[in-house]
Amino acid sequence: MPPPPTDTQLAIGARDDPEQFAELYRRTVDTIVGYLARRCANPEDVADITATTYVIALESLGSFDPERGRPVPWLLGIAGRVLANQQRRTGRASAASARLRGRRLLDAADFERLEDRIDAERLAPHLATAIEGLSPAHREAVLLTSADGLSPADAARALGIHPAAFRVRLHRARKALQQRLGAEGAPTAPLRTHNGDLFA
Amino acid sequence: MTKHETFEDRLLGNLLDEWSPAGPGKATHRGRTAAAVGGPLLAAGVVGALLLPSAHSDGRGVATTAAPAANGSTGTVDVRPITDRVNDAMAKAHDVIIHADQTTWAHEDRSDRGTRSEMWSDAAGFGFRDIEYGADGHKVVDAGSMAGTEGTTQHRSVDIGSRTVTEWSTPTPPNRGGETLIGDLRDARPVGTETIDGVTTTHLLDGEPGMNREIWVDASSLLPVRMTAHGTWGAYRIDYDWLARTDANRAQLLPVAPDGYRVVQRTSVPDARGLAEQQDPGTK
Repeated sequence: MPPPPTDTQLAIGARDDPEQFAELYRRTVDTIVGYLARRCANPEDVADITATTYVIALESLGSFDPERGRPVPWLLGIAGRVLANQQRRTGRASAASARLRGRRLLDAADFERLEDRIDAERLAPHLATAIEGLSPAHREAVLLTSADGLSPADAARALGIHPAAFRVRLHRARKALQQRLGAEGAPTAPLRTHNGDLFA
Repeated sequence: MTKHETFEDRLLGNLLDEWSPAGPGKATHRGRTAAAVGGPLLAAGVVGALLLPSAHSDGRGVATTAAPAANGSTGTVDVRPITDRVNDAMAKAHDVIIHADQTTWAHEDRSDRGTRSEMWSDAAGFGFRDIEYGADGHKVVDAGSMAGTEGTTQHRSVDIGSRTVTEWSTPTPPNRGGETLIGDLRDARPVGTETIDGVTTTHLLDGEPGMNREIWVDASSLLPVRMTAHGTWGAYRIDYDWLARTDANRAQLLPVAPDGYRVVQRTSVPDARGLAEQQDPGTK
């Protein structure tokens, strides 16, 4: 029995085969929803941005370049940019957001489940406060490599920067975070998130 | 028992309805119109994609809706909230090298010495430099990357400890855009006018919870000049320069090898361990 295709093979195969796109979606959607649950305040935003992310991924399959990284950081990069643009549009009357409503696909059970997910993904209060105090670039570096569980190289790809620059940023972010946690009297021993050490 | 259909299941159904063959180079979210492909989901996706760094843009993500110039040079009055106008001004600042000089304090009252760092970013292409200073004010880390004209990106990393400069180049990744070095404002409100280094600025308070964030934007260009924040976590101040994208300013993206440092040329790309490996050229 042949081994199952890798995510990268699925992303390439999805250009010509909707079933491979569907399989790639099934494998990755939970990661994308989790990523967004850690950054959004409500289920509607999670749904909207998840939908937009995959619409763009669908449209961009032809330009997916395996040399530049695996599909998950590629998708997270798309999700991050959609999120940033969604925040930018906040407060404006947006025809785009009016038309794109992933939230229309939500039923009551989804709503409750995503609310629970948002709560579950929420970091401990002292940790959340300390991370919130980081600069935006540092905050994202810490979250991508801890809560989102990406390697520094994959996180760099998700952000579209060189791994060397990301490594510098991550080092500085962790140092700043430790200072903040120490200043608050919080434990400075390694802190565990749901899927890894914050200070590897 | 029938499995409850979730949002994710329904979304996949909608996506598959929109799927069409897309061989390499054939898929282009700019090349199709919402009307051509039907479906509100994809229509909105196309609009959403236009708000992202595009395959042929400079990567800064520009809203497609026309807006008056931030400085009102069109003669019209821009009545949008200041938050939107500043965010748009940053998004439209393409032809610049952004320099950020940051000091971070561990204590909210800035009673400690603080640590300083500098960053440069090319808003129009792939280029980024990061310098970190130690407590004594000397550089601890200095690494930069700059895209060249021949499809290659040059990288240079200065290892202060071993007095070594490592250089290497890689193909320039396509579609790489610059970094803004400052996130979008959330909910800013003006509280006055101040002069910083001879520049008339509008002083803003930004509504990010727990941050006590203040931003001073150039009253003419609306680009940030300074940002400060403080809280129980400490404090920081960042001064921004939006430099013309001249060759001289682009050169700031790469550190200069200090006198007496050994220069090592590498032929391979550093792996995921990143800087740690770069700083040990003897391993290669």
